[in-house]
Order: sequence, then structure tokens, then C-alpha cells
Amino acid sequence: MKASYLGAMGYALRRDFPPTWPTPPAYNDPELSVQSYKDGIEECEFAEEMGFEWISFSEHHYSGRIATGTPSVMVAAVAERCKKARMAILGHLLPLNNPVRIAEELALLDNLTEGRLVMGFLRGTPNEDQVYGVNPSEGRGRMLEGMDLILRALTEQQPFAWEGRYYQYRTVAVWPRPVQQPLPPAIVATRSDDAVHFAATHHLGLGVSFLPVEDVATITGKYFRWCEEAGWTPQPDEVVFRGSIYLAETDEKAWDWFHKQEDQGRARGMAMRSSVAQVIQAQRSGQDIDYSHVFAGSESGDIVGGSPALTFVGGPDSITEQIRAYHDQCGAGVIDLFFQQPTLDHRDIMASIDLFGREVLPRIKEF
Amino acid sequence: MSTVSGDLRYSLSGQGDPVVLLDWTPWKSPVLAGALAAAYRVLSVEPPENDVRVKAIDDVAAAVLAVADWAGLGPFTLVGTSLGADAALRVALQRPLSVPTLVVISPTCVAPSRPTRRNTPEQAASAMLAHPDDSHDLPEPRRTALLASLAEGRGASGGDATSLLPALSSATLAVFGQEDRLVPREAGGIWKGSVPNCSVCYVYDAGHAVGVDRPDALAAVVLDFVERRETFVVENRSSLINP
Repeated sequence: MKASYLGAMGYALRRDFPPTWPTPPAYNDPELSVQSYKDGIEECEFAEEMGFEWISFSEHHYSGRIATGTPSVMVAAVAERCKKARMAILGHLLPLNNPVRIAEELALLDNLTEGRLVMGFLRGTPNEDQVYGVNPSEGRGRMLEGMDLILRALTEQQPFAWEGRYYQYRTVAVWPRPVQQPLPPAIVATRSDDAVHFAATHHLGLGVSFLPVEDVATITGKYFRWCEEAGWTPQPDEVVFRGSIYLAETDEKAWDWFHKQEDQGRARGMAMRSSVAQVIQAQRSGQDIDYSHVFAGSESGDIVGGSPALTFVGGPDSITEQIRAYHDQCGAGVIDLFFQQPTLDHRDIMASIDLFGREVLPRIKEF
Repeated sequence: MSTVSGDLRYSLSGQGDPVVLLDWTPWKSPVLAGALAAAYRVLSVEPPENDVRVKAIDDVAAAVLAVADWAGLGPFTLVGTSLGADAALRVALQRPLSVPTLVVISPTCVAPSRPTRRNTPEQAASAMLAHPDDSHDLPEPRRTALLASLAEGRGASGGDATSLLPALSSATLAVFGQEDRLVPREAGGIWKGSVPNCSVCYVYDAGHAVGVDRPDALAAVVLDFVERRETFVVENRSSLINP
């Protein structure tokens, strides 16, 4: 099994952010912001040094918690410092972006990294349906079409036009071609049957995030079955699980820290007004909305939603066994880990990477 | 009309510049035919009564030209689908000055794949449509015609026409379904790379029967090309939100 370090590039004082999304830019001090990115890049370098074989990035918007709204830019910067690890974008938010532009960025990055790119396709969290003015009811369709268009754009050797449902281009000719032929490894990050089926039938990898092992096993079970029906068997690197981690020297220390976070109510970050969340969910599921019955709640209780709970908590032995469960029960071959918990500073993160690299990574590589 | 290739049936509809339509598919594309007839004078030529495969495709092309001459069309835009596209290519090659604009939809004559026998209507639908279950939504008699004729293995064309493409002088649009399982994936690139003035368009979420899977999308791109030919690459719709 391989380990992947999620380069979240969180802003140093993210512990002071309000629980709601988006985070007002007023919270950003440019000088501290520069230092935060320097720290984040240093963490990536150290993770590579400690044996992480992938460094990953994820497109998320309007917040300093995962401060990589343009992951391609981040990959270009980190790849100059990390020369061995694969650079994985897990992933681009397809409904929000021009798929041809994404294809161009991916092809260029595969050149700049000399063939170390892993590309990933993601729909995005509900709050991000507000980012670039995309109707939430069209997100799934845009993602499915976007994947088809990107794959065509990266492999077609002559200019072409595209007549889609959501995208229409009369001239597409992506330059340069990817170094990895016919395609860089691709991960579809999803929990939804239609996107899992797309991954299986198009011979693409699967990524699942932040779910309990039983739920992930259900999703990967479908994936493996549909891959078999499509006549192929995914390799270990093609099944990725992403989880949040807090690692301490002992279980007791780790759980003490965790309970302290719960007491302080710090586990949030993507919360929004209940009225907005209600409408996004309704539009995503194709329901009719009666706006006359949609109101913001009371002054004290209007905020809903939050960051997922931690997936992995404990000392090295416990964490190893928790990760083993995702390997054994879900077939995950890559574990992508989010270390930057809101209350941890750069020194804490470096210590966690060090401990993970010494005590956990050698053992999970044996899986 | 009686021709060297046997009797050819035809119909005329619409007003405007002439378009010859060779929609020789059992599933037909009524949305495309209707859209063309709304803007152009459309001569729709049906295939010879005997299977085209048993006739020399060049004889069939000559017969189509004879019908066009008889109708007194002058230079015309030529649109062909599947087997009709294969014939349309020969028409354009035989008389380039008569066909300044050519649209081929799901042509099978370039890098043709070996015909695969489809023993059941369900197998036929799987081969032709991006979403085979949607064949149930096809109105009769199109559905029965599609499933029955495909089950007999119809749809294969003559030899590989790749070597003929560089001689094609028409402004050409080649349309393929993104999910076409009958035409090899590389066919679009061959058209683009071989024909001097060629645009290739992939219609998302469509199989070989583009006119069944995405009828409005097919009509939109074909109409735009017929009107603007190779300049259809230039966007002409406004993106202004509030003036």
C-alpha cells in the first residue's frame, strides 16, 4: 500500500476562522499567507523525504482551510521541490470549470513533472455549488460530460469539435500531449453510482473520501464488480481512499486531543445557512422548491453542515490497523491523508509526518 | 426515378438553397430532416430498393447525381448518414463542383471495422445506441425497422475509402457519436487529417445512431455547418448578460 500526503496549504491561523463558508478574505494577512504556503510546501517535501509516494492536491474554494483553489498552480510549484513523488490532483472540480482548460493544465503538468501526474475528477462539496454560478441540478451532468471531454481532448491527435449537453466547442486541440501515454493515471473521486460506473467502464481508478470503512467497501465492491463486467481488473494504485488523520505517540494522547477539539466545537469549516443548504440539496436531487417556505433560521440556529469527522485517530499501532481495514476490506491501494487539522500548527504537522513516516509507513507498505 | 442503379425514390420539401439528403438508415433522423426543410430546399433521396452493398457504390453515387440533375438543383449541399454518408463521399468525389459542402454523419467507409453479426434486436440496439434501453422510446415504425434490420447484420459498407479522402475538395463536416461502437475511434482523426478542408465533430452521449440519441444536437451542428461551412468555428452567439 502507498501513502499520499494531501498538501492542503492551510492558512496558519485557520483555527481562528468562523465555522461558516466562505471565509472572508479579511482573515487573510498577506505576509502570513506567504509563510503558510512556504510551510505547506515544506511539509510536502518532508512527506516525500519520509517515504510518501504521492503528494496530492484538491480544488477547494473560498477558504484558507484547504487553500488550493487552483491546484494546477500548486502542483507546478511543489513539483519543483519534490522530484520523486507522484503529483496527484484529487481532484479538479469538473462542474465548475472549462474541461478543455483542465485538459490543457493536466497535459502541461504531466510534461513539467516528467510523467508523474495523477489526475482526478471530482464534483465538489455542496457549498462549492455557489462558486462559479453553476446550477446544482446540473452538476452531475456537467461532471459526467466533462470527464468524457477531457479524456477525448487528451487523447485525440487531430483538432475536433464537441457538441455536448453542457459544453460546445468548435475547435479543441490540446497542446502539449501528456507524457504518459495514452493517459496519465486518472481517479474518479465519487460516491455516486453513475460516476463509479463511468470509472469502471472507462478503465479509470476510483477515489472515495471520508467515509467509514463499511460504506467505502460497499462502493468499491460495486466498482470491482463493474470493472470485472467491463473486462479488466484495477491495479492497487487505482483505488484511493482519502481520510483525515490525527496521529500521536499513543492512543491516549490522540484521543485526549480529539475530545478537546470536540469540546471546543472546532470540527466545522464548510457550514452555511440552512436555507442555502436546503436549496442546494433540493436542486442537486432534482426536487421542486417552494421559495415561499425557504427562510433563514433563527439568529442562534441557522448554520448547518461542517467538516467530516476524523477518519483516523490514535497512536501508530491503532492507525496502522485502521488503515489496514481500508486496504483489506475496500481494496484501497493508496491512502491519501489530510494531516492539517485546524488547531495544529506547522511544527505539529511536521512532527506528525515524522512519526507517521517512522512508525506507520513502513508497516502499511507491507500490505 | 429509374437510374443505372435501379429505381430511386425521392421527395422534395422546403424552400431555399438546395440540400440533398441521403439518410439511408432504418432509424431515420426526422428532426434533422425537418430542420433542413425549414431553411432549405431539400431533395431527400431514398436508397436503391436492393441492398446498397450488392451494388457498386460508385454506381449508386452516379444515380444520386442523376436525380439531382433531373431536379435541376445546381450546386448543392450534400448530407449523408451512415451508409448514405459513404455514398455521399463518392458523389462529392465524382462531381466536386456540384458539392461545395458535404456533411457525413457516422460514415463507415474510413477505417471500417469488421461487421459483427448481431443476432438479436437487443444486441443491435447495444451496438447502435449510447443508451440501448432508450430504443423503447422510439416511435413505430422506426423502432421495429431499426431493430429488425440491424439484427440481419445490415449496416456494413464497401471497402476502405481512406485513400480517397485527400482528393475531396468540398468543405466537409464529419459527425460521429462519442459512443459510436461501429466506427473505430481513429476514424475521426483520419477524416480530419486527410481531407483538406474538414471539421470533425463528436456528439456527446450519442452512439452510431446520432439522430436517435441526440436528435436536436445533431440538427444544430449540421445546420450551423450548412449555413456557415468551415467558419462555424467562430462563435457568433452573444454572451452578454445585461447590456
